[in-house]
Amino acid sequence: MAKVIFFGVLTDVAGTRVRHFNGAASVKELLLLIEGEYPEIIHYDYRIAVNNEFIDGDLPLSESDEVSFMPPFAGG
Amino acid sequence: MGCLVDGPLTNELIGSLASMLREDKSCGGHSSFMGMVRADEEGGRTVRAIEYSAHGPMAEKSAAEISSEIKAQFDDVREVTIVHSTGIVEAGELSLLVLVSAGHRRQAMEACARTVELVKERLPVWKKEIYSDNTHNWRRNEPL
Repeated sequence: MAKVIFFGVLTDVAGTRVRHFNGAASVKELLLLIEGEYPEIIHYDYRIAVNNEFIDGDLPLSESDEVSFMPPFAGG
Repeated sequence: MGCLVDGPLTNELIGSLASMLREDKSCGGHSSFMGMVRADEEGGRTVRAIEYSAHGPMAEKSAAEISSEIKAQFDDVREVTIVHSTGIVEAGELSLLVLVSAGHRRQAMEACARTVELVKERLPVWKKEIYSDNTHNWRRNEPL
């Protein structure tokens, strides 16, 4: 069960900051689940990090993985 | 200390960091930038506060990488300190401190300005502006 953390405006889109998702063996599969659950998310820019490292493309996921959905930064 | 602190940057924290500057007597120039929450007006609403959130582990890593990069780019720079708030910071309170120490003033000032830009570009921090009517808006950074 991957732990998903939403940041910034995506917390409003998802209505929560942290959620666990069952049945996703890869980032691609997780994205399908999340887009099915929160269709509005496709209108937002974001990058994905797995276990604190940004990824590009797909990656296998294990149950202990932590996946972060991060919109453009806005510090300062 | 890490780069993230809960709540606004206090006079005590800033004073404590400033007093540490004296430890390296090879530095002749210290340059600082302090970011403060503005009471911007938008559509008849005024920004009352900003609620900052961050990806803690990635923010700490990013701050360390920025510090290393600045030291590699500016050979006279000895120390780079980045401190950013998380949580609620009211208008008029400080949310960001960048402090750069160098042998001489020129690189201290140039490296400080560069560090601020890298912080805005790379630190995984987000800001939710909270208005006087308690509505909110997720704000993106504007280009310089």
